[in-house]
Amino acid sequence: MFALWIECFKMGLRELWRHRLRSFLTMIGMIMGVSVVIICVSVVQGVKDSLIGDIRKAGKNMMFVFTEDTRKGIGTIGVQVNTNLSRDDAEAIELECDGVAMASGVQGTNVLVVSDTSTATVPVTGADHKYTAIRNWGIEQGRDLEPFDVIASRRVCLIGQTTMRELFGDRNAINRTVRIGRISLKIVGVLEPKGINPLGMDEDNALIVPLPIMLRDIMNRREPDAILCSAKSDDDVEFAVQQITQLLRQRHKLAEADKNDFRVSTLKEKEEQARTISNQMTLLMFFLALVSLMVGGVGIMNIMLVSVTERTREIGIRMAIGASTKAINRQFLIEAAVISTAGGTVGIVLGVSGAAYISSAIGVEPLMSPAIVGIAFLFSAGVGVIFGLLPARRAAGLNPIEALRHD
Amino acid sequence: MPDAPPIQPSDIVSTIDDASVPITVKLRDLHKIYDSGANAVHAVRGLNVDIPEGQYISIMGASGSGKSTLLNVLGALDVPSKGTYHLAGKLTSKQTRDELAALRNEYIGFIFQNFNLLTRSTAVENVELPMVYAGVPTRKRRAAALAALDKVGLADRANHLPSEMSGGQQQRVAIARSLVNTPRVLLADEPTGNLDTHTSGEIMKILDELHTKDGLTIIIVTHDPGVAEFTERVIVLRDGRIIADQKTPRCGGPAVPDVRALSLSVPEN
Repeated sequence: MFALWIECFKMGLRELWRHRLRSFLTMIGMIMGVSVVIICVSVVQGVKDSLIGDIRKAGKNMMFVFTEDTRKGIGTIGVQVNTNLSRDDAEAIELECDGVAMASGVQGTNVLVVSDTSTATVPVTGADHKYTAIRNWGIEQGRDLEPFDVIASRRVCLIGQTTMRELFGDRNAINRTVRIGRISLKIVGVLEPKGINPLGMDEDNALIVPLPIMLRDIMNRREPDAILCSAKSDDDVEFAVQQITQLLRQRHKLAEADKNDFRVSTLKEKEEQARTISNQMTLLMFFLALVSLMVGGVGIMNIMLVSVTERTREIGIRMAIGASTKAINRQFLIEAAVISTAGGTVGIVLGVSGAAYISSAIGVEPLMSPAIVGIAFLFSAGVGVIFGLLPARRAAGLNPIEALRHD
Repeated sequence: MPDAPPIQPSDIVSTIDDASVPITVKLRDLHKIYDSGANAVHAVRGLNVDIPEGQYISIMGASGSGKSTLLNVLGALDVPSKGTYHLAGKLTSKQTRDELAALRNEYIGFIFQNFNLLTRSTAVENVELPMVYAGVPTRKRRAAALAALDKVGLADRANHLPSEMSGGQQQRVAIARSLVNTPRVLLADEPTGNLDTHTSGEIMKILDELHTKDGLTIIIVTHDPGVAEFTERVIVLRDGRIIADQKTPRCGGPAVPDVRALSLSVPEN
């Protein structure tokens, strides 16, 4: 019983080896299908992991409160001048919400920054002295913003690594001056390098100025349109969001039926989003790969049908000397399965190396789970068996007398 | 024109006059009808034949006489439409396809006019094949296949492909293949039909030896009287009926009729 399987397997291998080119061409469908599955799944999962890792590094306990325009139809496009938030809101959040450790009003914009030698458009952020602490951002050189800088609207700033390089080259930027419009700001600190954020932006391209300078001197507005907060711990984030929402509704005197005129977003939320998107991507890839496996399977079925017709005489001879329908059926089924699993195996090898190559090219760690490799292998074997059924049945159903007479 | 053979009804006649020899092939009122729509072809019409163990017999007939149909039934490749066929005591007419396959594997050795070797397998692989389906273990199989090849004088050709061998050599490989499962009956369909006179003689010598030395039951289907003369008994078919069942000159019988002349000389009724 078991011996017949082994015999059929050996015969199948021999037959495929005799038709090397044909077998290889038939395999290509499977090779592509399987390698694409593995590349896509492991790269997408790798991207997801590095994305989530970045988010965690950025601080999972961070929360943003944005102003949101509730008046329908009058929403301004581009920079929103009216804001529902205020610096007092930020202060109240920090004081009254026990889930919140720190809060700072923030206002950002892209402006032209001029040094003594060059100019650059830089995303400038206005914030108070807690900003670097909330963002978990160290100072490499010089000093941080201090409460007095903010209260007294002193014309000082912190500079990011990339911005410093653009404006000053290799020179030390500490105590030098940059100009934004007609305002001169003294660089008092250089921020530590932070790298590329999950959205692909260079965090080191930054200039941090005291919030009043940003609002009054640069943007000519009263209040910031966002508040950056940090929860006391990662687990407090949801609780803190609730507290902030409650407090701001109260402070903004919203009625029960009114919608929030602000929006609280968290990095935890972003992490969920990243996870969902990448899982959807994986699913999509999976279905695409399924289609290509099906195409590969049809290719196998096609070649097996040709093979059965071509080998009718052989089948007749085998039947005449005592091959049962089961044995013939099994022989062709195994041939189909061997083609597809061989294709699958080559696909796995190509897929794993391809995933490693692509991942290193885009700078993420590929996620190779043995489960994916196993599933790809089983799938390819299954495709061979399923698409081998029809040709094998056709072979086994031949009439031995007619098959013997076939030429 | 040979002497007109005594035309006998399908009586049970055995050329070996020893009644104690067990019967290997027993046909009773065997009919085969091919029903292809409106015109049914009655290929074999009520044959009764007993072939005792160890008999060397030839079946003759012109094309259309029903000898191919009889061969298919005897070879368990087909089942009769009516009547019974006992092979070594086993009734074949009630068996399924797979049971027939097992029967062929175990009891019947086939030799074909066009050899029917697997063209892409070597001689020894071809000879091994019946044992593959009989479930013989690999090592034992190889040894038995080489022994069978040695028996037909082809031990040195074991690893050659059929295309690298002459017709006579290929037929010897086929004989070796037919013998490896020690069958009860050897069925040869025009075994010399594709061979020249000299090679034909070699093949017939091998078959003769299998009969005399090994006591194998051999059935040869042929239209060549020269081949039939090697055997002990000849059955002549015409229009699906037995028109002669007699000993060959070798066993003291009358001359073997020339079936081609026969089919011409007897008018259709």
